[in-house]
Amino acid sequence: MSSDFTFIWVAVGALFDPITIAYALAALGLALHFGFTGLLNFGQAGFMTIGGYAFAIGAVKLNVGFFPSLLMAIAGAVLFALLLGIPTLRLRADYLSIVTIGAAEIVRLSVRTPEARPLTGGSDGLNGTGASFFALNPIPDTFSINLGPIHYTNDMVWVRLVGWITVIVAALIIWLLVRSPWGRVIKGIREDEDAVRALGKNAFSYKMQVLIIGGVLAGIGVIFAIMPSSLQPDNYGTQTTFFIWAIMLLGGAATIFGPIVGSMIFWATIAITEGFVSLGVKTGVLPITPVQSGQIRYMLVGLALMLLVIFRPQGIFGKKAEARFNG
Amino acid sequence: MVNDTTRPALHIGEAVPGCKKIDPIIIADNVTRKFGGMTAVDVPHIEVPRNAITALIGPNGAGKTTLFNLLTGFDVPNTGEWSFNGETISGKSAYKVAQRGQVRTFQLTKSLALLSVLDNMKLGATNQRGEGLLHALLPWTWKAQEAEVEAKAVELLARFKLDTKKDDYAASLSGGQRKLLEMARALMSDPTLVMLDEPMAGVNPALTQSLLGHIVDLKAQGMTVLFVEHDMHMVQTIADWVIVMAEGKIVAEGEPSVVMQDQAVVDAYLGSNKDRDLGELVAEIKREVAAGADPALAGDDLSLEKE
Amino acid sequence: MITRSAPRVLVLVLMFLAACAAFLTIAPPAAHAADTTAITVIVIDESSKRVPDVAIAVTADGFTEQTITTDEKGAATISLPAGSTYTFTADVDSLPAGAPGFVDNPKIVDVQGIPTTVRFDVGEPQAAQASESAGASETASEPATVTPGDDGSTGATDMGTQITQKVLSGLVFGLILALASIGVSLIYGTTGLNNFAHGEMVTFGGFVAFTATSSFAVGSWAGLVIALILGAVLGWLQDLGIWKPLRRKGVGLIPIMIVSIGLSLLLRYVFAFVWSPGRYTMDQDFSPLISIFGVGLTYWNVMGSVVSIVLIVAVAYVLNYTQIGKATRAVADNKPLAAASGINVDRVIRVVWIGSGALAAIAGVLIAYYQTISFQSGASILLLIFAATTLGGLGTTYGALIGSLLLSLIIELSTFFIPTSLKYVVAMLIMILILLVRPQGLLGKKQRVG
Repeated sequence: MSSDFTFIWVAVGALFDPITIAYALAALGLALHFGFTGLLNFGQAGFMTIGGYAFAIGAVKLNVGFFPSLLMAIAGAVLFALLLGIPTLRLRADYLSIVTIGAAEIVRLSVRTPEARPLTGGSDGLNGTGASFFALNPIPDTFSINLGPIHYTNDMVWVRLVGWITVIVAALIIWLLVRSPWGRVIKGIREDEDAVRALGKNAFSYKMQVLIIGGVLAGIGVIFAIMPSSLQPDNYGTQTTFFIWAIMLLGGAATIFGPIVGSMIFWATIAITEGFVSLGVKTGVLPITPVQSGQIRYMLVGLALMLLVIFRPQGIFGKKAEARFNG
Repeated sequence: MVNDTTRPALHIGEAVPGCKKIDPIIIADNVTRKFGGMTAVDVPHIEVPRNAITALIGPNGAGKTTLFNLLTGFDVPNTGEWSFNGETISGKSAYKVAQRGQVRTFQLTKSLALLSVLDNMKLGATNQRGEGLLHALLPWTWKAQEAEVEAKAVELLARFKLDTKKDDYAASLSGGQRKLLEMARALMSDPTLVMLDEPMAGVNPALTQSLLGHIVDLKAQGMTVLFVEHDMHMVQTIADWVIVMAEGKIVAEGEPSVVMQDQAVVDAYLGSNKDRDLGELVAEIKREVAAGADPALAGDDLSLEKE
Repeated sequence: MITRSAPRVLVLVLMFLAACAAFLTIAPPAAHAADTTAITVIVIDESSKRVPDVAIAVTADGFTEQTITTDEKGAATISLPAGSTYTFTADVDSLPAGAPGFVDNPKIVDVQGIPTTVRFDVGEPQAAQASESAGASETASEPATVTPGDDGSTGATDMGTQITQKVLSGLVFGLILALASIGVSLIYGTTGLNNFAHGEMVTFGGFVAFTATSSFAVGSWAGLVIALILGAVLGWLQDLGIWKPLRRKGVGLIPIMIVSIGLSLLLRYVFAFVWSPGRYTMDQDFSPLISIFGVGLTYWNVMGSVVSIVLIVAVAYVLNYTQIGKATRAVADNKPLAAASGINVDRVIRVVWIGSGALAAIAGVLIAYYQTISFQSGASILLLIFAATTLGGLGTTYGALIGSLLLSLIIELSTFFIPTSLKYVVAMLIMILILLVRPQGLLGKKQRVG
């Protein structure tokens, strides 16, 4: 029976998993968008898709190596931000939400279309994107970490190490930005864009910078998720964006620490919940099928989004006084 | 005060709608703005005199705020050209207009609620290095300037009696205090022209006095003021020049005492209320200002002011 | 913060859904057969002659591969379950010796409820090196020369038939889309909320009708009425349980919008939980009921359009000639003014939610007949709804109708030029274009800034 509780270890592993890294970076970017600037980006999954495919195509199809592929991912995210921002950032805030949620789906449908198969692998996605990254691994392959049922090879340690260093560097950059006069301007835009324009600031330019920076974080983050496994287009649907929103709101939208810890809590909670549910299904305590148990996480995330916004808009780490959303 | 005979002449020739000014700061031509079938603004020519306080008055729906929005780049006209300080600024974005020294406030205050009062002020300062993305990442490149900006902000806040509130969220201020904050914030950029959209709307009478004093003070410091107002007392006491709008057009222009007696204006808008209690009060403040006293001192304790 | 009673009513909404779900799924869905659409494949060579004996493989996700061969008239017919995207791959080796290949091969076809023709042209392959759109547009702009075929049919007729098909598909689907878009537009107009959970109200209607007709063997029209009623109840309960308490507490529009996104995710997976994540086909007659310019329309193609038109006319009547309709327009125009003049704004908004829920549910039923129904049906048309309302003018009812029809027609006709699987990209591009040049939409009024 004890082996059924290995999901506790899975949850511990989830705290530092590459997926957690990817979502922490994407949520950090979203916090810059929404929490600090008030931009309603519902296409963060689109930035992940663009970044992921740009990187994967560079790494697998063009074989240009890790760093050029990384640059391609960044360039892809920047272009996507420009494409979304130019028509919408001058308009009322909710137009951005409609356009971004749509654009993210368009990107997903486009990369998984059979016509694009030679480049993107269609609905199968792309594998082996991490080869050039793991080739850079200085940790000898005799090295491994064993912690209970958790077993990390040198490559698994490498991706986590570089991933978390990236998260820390990104957090530092965002921290420097939001406490600078630049950060004051974007917070001003969140509160009232017209007032900021009346003070001689080019609000459009700031919003575009924010959209680009937050999008690039998502585009870089996804790389850590796909390198050790594979890039599957259907992993980046609208539900992915909603996960990122839940993570950001959970930790605190206008915080830097919040999205990162939010991602860890989120994925550990998912692992524990699904562990208990599958245990319940196996032992017959829960009268549901295994297929149904797969839907539970989405239902919980949806419910969490609603309840967080209604009852704890500041999240875990946000200040209560700052919790008031703008109408 | 109303019949201040010592005031220098501002206009050339007869004081008719669209008349020329001796030293205009804004010259606008052929400005029209239509919403659907309705013409909100139709101004063939308007000039705003420099270093004077000009009031833009008129009944609701006269197009005053629309004209304000057009001149400040917050709205786009159907036709029209205008210049500020001799430079054509029609068609320029709002932020570019503001950068040239023409700042405005809003009818509904736009204090940035979840920023501290001090941050609100700092946002008003122009040419901040730290507002650029790359410099933002290098704090030592902007820390010195930030200290200067902060010193200036604190000084202004003290003048506006808001210095004790500097670390509070702007959201915690009363309506009148927000008006004061918005005006103080506009002054952070050392503007040439300050455009105030109904600075008295929704302000407690206790604070009105203080606000009026500050407006008069702006002129004393060499700035030009253009304001939209409903309150005729205020217009009569502090304005050097009055422009009357109705149904999108300028119907009268002139010195306050003259315009007030224009029967067309009275019929259109002013009514026959000659009560001048507040006007005398403000005149008193003006004399104090002229004598070098701090106008804000004349105001009541701001903390008593309630929404 | 909203009152502590909100979760209680939220629970009420969830219980209602659970009850509906439990009630409707007592009996497992019956298996269906004969729910297919006829697809005709034709092969034409460079001199516009029909090519016989060409083998064409038809594949799709979850569909056993079938191969068909063209007859002496260069045509082959296959019946396919509607609602999926099929890949038609013509076998180059089955062409007569010396033929260069096919201009555009394979072809991806989104099969809906309307019989469709797929055309292969013999010629230099435009595969990898040429762009997809270039290959397709060349096919489309090919001169319509007369084909000396045995049956006397011409290339021009084929093109005409294809255009007719796409226009009819566009109109049928556009009318259905309009039912959902009008609801979104009314809710936006009266509350300012962009309802991201609207797609789920559509899905709900489709599932209700599917379960009613399959598990409870009620007639298809009775199923439609049941969906209408339960959709209205869902709209009413949503307003009562979620939106009204949030409005009461003065929660801003943006948090309310995020709540609608959470609700959308929650409901979508409640549907997946209850009905399991498959595609279900409605029991219906796919034989042509009427024929327009040689294109057959099924019973539900026709009835779907009729139902949509009747409902749209009814909405227009209500808005223009009834007390509540006039009140609704007043609220949409200026809420404080409407409230000040004695209109019960809360009641108007409640009626709007009830009506929108009913309209969305009917849209769901009609989509289920037109394509299939799955837990993602509503979510997948949400973008189209938003694009249609943006195109027509957010918050304008007639804008929603015109936007839906126009958008649907454009995306159908766009498949002449781009791969079918990318047709939603066109919707997206139209939306971006509209936002760039006329953000208020075709029928929207320009707003004041200050």
